[in-house]
Amino acid sequence: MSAAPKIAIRDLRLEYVDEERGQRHVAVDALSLDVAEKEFLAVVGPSGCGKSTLISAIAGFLKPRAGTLEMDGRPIGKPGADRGVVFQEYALLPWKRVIDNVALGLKFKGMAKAERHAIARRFLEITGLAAAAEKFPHELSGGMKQRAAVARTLANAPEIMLMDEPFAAVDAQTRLTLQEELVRIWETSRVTVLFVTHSVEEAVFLADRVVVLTPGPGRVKASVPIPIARSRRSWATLNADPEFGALRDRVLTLVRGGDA
Amino acid sequence: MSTVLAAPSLPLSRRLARPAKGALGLVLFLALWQASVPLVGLEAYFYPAPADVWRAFLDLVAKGILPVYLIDSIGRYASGVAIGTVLGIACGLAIGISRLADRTLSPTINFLFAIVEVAWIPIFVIWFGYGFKTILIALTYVVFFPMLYNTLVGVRTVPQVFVNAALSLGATRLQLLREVILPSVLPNIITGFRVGAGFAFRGLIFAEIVAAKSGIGYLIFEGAANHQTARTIVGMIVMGLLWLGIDNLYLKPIERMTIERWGSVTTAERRE
Amino acid sequence: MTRLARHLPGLLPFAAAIAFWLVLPQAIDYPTYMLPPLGQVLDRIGESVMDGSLALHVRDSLWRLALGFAIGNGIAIPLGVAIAMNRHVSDLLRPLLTFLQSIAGIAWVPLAIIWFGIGMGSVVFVIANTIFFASIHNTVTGVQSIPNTLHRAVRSHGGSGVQVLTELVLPGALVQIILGLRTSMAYGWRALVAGEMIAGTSGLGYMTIEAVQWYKTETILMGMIVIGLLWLALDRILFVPLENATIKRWGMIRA
Repeated sequence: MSAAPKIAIRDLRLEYVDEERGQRHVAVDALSLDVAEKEFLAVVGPSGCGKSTLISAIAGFLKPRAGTLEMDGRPIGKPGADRGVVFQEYALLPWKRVIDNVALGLKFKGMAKAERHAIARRFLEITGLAAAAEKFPHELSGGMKQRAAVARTLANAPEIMLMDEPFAAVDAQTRLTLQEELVRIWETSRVTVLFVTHSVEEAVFLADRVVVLTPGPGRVKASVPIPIARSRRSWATLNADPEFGALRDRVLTLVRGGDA
Repeated sequence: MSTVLAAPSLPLSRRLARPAKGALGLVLFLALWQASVPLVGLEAYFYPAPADVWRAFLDLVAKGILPVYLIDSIGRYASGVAIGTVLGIACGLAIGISRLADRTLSPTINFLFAIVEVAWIPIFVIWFGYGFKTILIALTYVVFFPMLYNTLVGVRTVPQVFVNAALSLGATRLQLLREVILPSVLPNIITGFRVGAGFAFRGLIFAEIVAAKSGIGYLIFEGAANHQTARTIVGMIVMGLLWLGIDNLYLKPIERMTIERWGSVTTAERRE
Repeated sequence: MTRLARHLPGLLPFAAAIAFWLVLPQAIDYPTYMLPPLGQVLDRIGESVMDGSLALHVRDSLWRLALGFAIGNGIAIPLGVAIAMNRHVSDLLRPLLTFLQSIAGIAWVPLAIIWFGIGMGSVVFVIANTIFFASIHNTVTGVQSIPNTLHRAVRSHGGSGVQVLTELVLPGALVQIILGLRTSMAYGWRALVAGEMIAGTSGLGYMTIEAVQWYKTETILMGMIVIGLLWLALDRILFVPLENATIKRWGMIRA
């Protein structure tokens, strides 16, 4: 990674307050990490290692207690359209039709309705939701909701897409399909992605590089490049693939506390 | 009672039996009342028969008193509810969104809430005299609190993830309010409106008894004061029907509409 | 931010209102019956406390409230259980009750005056009426919210009809019934003040409305203050502890 990183994180410390007990927790401490331009980076780690908190900080929902957080060399501040977020709970507005949900960011930019609907339709087609444009979110399955959420984020053309365990709430079968679709969609959009997950398989399947965090407070334990060609990334191909298996086992060992 | 509508799977005989029994209950009540009049043997002003009430009703319609009173009551009611609703929503939003507004206004509002609205009527009469102004302000007062509290609960329970999503899509504060917070609060506003509209109706009748010279509440009071008890009962029945009409034709449909599009949807979204 | 600084904005409206009240009589000439100086209101409170008249009004009001509360709930709770447990009772009575409920409690006052005369009887009737309808709704909801599986469980362990009532229905609906008591008290309190204004010969509502005729505005303001404080005290002393005790004991947490 010789070029300047898209996201540069240095000695980051993040804390959050446990609402029930009123206690302060250190989620992430002394974490340093670079995300390269156009990279698909997955972050894995045991629960409580601060993966999701990291996303919140980059998105701007949470202020760092210490350290620096930069995008393109400028400090990250408030939430903004340059950093799109895909949430585990979809966060589609239930009172808006799918097409209006997907066009929401464009509406915020002041784009006229016809124009923003045209763009939204294009992204609904890419995510295979063209037929569901006029439906309300509650009429969609979990998988379709998450496709719509991805379409909403991509339609807004962010510089980086932050994905916070996006497939954790859908059933196992749908998850596999969504992962394959994400590979395909990413091929066409090539946006920088930071993808947080607790599933090692998912991380290795999707990413160019997998970063393993230590148990909380999280910091980077290892960075594992995934040199599998994009064209081979389907479950039919990789399920029994020895290279995939080896990478998966290596990351799994790291997550479980071993060295590899 | 939407039980009839809600139970389409019941056998037809049972579905018909239920309202029939309910009607039987009403008819029995009227029959007992009518039959008891000669047995009780009291003056008509003390214990009028259903037939007396019916005659009083026809008389009030023929003389044009009832339509005028009805229009007065509805006018006062609609104006008071409208103003109280707007003020309540505005204050609820302000307190919910701004910490400064919360700290400045909340103690005063809690203090005012403890003084029940009926206790304000005497001072309103001193300040604004008998009639429209006093009733309007009293109804505004009654509607204001349920509107405010429900709006406030709504703002405080807007799912944080919706707010985060909108901010990440580049929403300004104003856009956040319009696209996320207001629609999210709407079901609470509807609930507050239904509660407030109910309170206001009771408030209307009371205010008209104490501080008006027309209206259904006044009819109820005037009838009793002049020993025209049948008129009082006409007033009470008209009042009950008016409320059932408002509730079934306006309030319940509005609530059902928003629940269909918002309420159930939002809860489903939150459960996942 | 210190505690003081946090509470300061909340005190501003009160301070402004009191300042306005203090300055107004000196600043402009207006009929003092519209808003008598603060000193007069305080004097009035002092006099009423000393000569015992305020205590008499409070006593009468509370006694009526207690009677109306006992009568209203005494009828509402058994009838509510009957409606919730028996389909025939429910079918027969519901439309009638729905209609009677839609006639706001206060609208019964004029009729009550004819039947019971001005005073105690009319006011208690209206309070009981109002409390009845507030309470019966909660009782029915409480009984009907008991899961059907519990009914089956008690039955299959050989519970008789009476045992279902004492072992399941009453304890199961208790929390909701207590909620109903509190709500009904709030409605009853309004009915009390309103009823006394129309049909009272004593009590806080009567004291307040009677002062309107003589433009004794300081008495009206005293009435409002006492009504507000007394309600806060009633709610805090009676119901908050009762609700906390039962809700905690039954492990129910209200959202």
